[in-house]
Amino acid sequence: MKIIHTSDIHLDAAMQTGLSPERAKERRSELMTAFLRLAEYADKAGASAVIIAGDLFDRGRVTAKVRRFVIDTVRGLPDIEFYVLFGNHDAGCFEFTDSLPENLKLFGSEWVKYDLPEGVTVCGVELTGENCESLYGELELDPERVNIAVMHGAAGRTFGEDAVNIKALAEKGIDYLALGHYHSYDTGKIDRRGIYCYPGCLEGRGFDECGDKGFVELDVENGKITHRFVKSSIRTVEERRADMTGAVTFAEQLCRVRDALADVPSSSVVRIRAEGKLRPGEEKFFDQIVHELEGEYYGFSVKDRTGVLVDRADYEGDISLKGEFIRLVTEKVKDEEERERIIACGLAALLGGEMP
Amino acid sequence: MKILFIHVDAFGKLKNFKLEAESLTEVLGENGYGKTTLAAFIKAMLYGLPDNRDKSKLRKKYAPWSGGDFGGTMDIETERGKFRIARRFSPSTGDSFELTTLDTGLPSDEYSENIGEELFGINAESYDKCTYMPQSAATLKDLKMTDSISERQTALVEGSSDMGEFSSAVDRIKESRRRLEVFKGTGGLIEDTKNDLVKCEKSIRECEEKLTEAAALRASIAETEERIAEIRSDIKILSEKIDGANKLNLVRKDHEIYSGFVRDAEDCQNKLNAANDNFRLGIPTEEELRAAETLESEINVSLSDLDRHSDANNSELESLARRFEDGVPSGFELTNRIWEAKELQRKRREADALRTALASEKLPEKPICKSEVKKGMLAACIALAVAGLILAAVGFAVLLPLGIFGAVALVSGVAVAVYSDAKRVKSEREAELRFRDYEAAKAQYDGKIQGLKALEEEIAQTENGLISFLGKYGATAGGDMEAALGLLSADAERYGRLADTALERKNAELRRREAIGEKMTALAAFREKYGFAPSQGISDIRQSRAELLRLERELEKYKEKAESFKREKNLGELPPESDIDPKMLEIAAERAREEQNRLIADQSRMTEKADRLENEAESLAALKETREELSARVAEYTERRDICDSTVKFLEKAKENLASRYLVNMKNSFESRFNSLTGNDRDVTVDAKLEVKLRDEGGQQKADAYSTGWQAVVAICIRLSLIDSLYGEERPFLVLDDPFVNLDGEKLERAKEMLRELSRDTQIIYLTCHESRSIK
Repeated sequence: MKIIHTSDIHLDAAMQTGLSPERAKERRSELMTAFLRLAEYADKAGASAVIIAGDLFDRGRVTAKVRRFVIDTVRGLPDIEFYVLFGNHDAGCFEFTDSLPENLKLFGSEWVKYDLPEGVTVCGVELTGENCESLYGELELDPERVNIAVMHGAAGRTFGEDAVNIKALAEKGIDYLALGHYHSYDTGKIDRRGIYCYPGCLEGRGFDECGDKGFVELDVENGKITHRFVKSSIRTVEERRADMTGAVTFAEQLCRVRDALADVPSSSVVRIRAEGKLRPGEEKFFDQIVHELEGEYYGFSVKDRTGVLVDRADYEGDISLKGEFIRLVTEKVKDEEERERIIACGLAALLGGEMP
Repeated sequence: MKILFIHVDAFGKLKNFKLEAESLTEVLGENGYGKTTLAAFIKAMLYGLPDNRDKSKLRKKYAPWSGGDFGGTMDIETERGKFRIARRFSPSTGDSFELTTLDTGLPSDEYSENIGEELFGINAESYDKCTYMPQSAATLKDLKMTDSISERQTALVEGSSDMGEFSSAVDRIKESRRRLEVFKGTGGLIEDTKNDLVKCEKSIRECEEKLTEAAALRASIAETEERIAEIRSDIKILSEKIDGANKLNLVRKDHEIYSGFVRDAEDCQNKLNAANDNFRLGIPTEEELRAAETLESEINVSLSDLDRHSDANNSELESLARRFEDGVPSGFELTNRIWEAKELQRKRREADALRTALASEKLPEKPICKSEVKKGMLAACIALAVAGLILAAVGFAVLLPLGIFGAVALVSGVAVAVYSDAKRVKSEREAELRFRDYEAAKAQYDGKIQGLKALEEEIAQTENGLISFLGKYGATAGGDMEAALGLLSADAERYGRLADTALERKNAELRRREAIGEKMTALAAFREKYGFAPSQGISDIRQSRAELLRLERELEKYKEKAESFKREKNLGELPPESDIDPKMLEIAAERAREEQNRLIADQSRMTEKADRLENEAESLAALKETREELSARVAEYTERRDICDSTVKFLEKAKENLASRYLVNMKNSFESRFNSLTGNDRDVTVDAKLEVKLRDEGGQQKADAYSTGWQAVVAICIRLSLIDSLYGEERPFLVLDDPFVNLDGEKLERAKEMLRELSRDTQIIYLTCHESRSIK
């Protein structure tokens, strides 16, 4: 029996990648496409069930269009059971929705169990402030069955509305804990028998969600459950660092950026974090670099985190205003970034360069 | 830098004024000579003239008094070479500036029209404080440290040029900062972005309110759905009650129908019972009945046959018996007579043919044996010939044509005569032949007639014989003997057969009657067996039996119908009459349906509104992205603003530090000059703002508290110390416009000596209007 595990899809969420409004709208549409592709994959693979471990939507009040899209997708695959757990973002999204399809199964604030064929049980519970400690003691599973539990929260050893206490779930007979909350694929052990797994999100929405995204495919055979990560993202979000130290011309800086992007596909949303230090008066060609490369990637931006290469020793004997200024700032400003920015601003102003 | 030569074209009261400058150039002229104008001209050559909007109104002040080109030239020598500065001041065409190299006379771009700043590194305002000392400014009043002086101080110390950009650097930072946030009032990127953020937040709130409203509508929709469900349930209950009541009525109706079937069965049973009375001794089987019918039918048929055969056959036989009461002609005799009839017919035909032939043959007319040629013909021809001869003879003698005509007549007559004779002979021969033919034909004709007569006699004879024969047997011939004989023959034969048949029939009749009797006996036994009346027809029995069977079947059918109806309808006990009025229930159900429809319509409206609100709120994600971006921008702009403010603060502090550092040089220089000028060692201080204080009688007093004489001394020393601190090798000239007016004799002499000393390394242009103050 095959089961698909996904979470944190955040349909209709805002993008945090600095894309143009048109591209951001496209990406939101791609989120919906990603969900559709997951459903099609489940259908083609002959999966019996799809588990969505929370944050299917981005907020509790979602538009009818998005809600209808999900319901229609589920309804279009009547042979697949969809088990939907609400997370910290999308609680109550199906409230007041008439005629939910029969193959859409929900959970609640108490453990809900669904028995599947081939000796598989899927159970899940939504964490609240009231149940976040008591629910662990209420879980009872048949150890003879293959038990899949579904929760949404941060795996750890504490209790809380957003916390899944792995220690409290040990020795409960769980074979696979299908979690949601973190947006990157990750696994860990519960006990000798079972593991927990975050499938991550289907598509990256910000530069804190870089790299390949997808879902997890479970295979239950002879009472054992195995899993594998399936990459499915339409495009990835990538942030790469480029050290600009010593790159004084446009060509050199562009070359540093291209080197950093060597393995990044053109379909990606890319941000270059320009680092390193430039000497006073050395020009930054980041705007030109954006202009040069923005057509080669789906989204491209540069975040300037370069500093000013100032060696105090160089200015010890400099009796000019420039030297006095640098000495003063170096002595008085403790925060390195602020210090470098003040120096860069002052020098640019004094030397007639481009104001940062 | 040194001034080499000045040529004033027209500037104020000066016109076509020339001055060759040395290291110490003195211009001694009475009041109104134009000394101050000259000093102003020198400054104007270096810095240009401010436009008329300037408060000093210098342009107006120094406009040429008596016409001429407003401007002039000044030759200078700097570290880069020797140059001529040429300026023209024109309100109509605009000011002009030219810099040419003195050696080549070619235009130079070594310096721009801001040559004064480029040479000295100070602006026009600072120039007045440093290189130019007007008479009226020999006080401390206007002697304040300017940015330009301070910048130059610092730049001169280390020889770099970036300090020259200090003011513009600070301006640039402030401009950048102003773009971010204005110092006073409203405006700037931060404020604009915050405004955008506020609008964005408002839009987000509106979207969220719409979503909240939509959620509330969804809740109402859900409540309405529950109410609709309740009403549906009520309608269902009412419908069930109505169905129940209707079903009850149906059940009662079914019972009625069932009772009807039962009654029909009972009627049928009664009829069956009545019908069974006819079959008290039993019911004959179909085979028995069929056999009885067959017997009856055969008996009737046989009896009918008996009657028919006797009637039909007897009459014909009797008729033929009467015809042949004298005997029946034998077959031999009949055959001979038939042959005769055929002969008769043949002879008739022959006689008819003969008659026809005779009728068609026509005896030809007796022919004439004479020639057909008329006698007169020959005579005519001869006459013609003679006439022709005569005519020809005469004609040839008298008239040729007439002779020709006569010849023709002659020839014609002779030819015709010959021809006619030949023809006559032939004709006579033919006539003879014709006569011979006629006689032969006649003989033939007469023979035929004879034959015909003989034949007719034979025919008559034969006819009579046959007629007589036929008459003997009552037959008439008509025209066709043969046919009549045929008929007779047939009748004779028939008579024979009928007689035989009659005999056979009689025998058969006897046998038939026997059979009939047997069948009657069997039939009677059948009737007796089942107790039927002897007169009762089998068909009646059959009918009764059929009716009985029909009734039995019908009874079965009614019973079966009743049972199956009962089973089908699952009829149990007859239910009692219900007190529920289905009509009232229908009315209640109808009201409930109306309420349901109203709620469904409300639900539809709310759903439409909720959908519309949610669709309008679809931009929420995009707005949140915008908010995030705007917030990041505000943070960035704020950070940049703070950086700008910090940078300016630090730059100003750095400048202050430097200025105060270089103040020492200026202070030392000032003290040296002051003491040199005054001959005293006074405790004097000067701060970065060029505030001078003198220690006197235990206290420090500001210099401007002293007499004008002392102020003049201090002012001179300040300027000289400024120059000492500002300039290194590239020292400018000094233009002193009678600065020592207020000095007493001793100090005046010391000042003169100081100037002579100074002129060794600084060009001095000294303007005075009194010989006592002449340096030379």
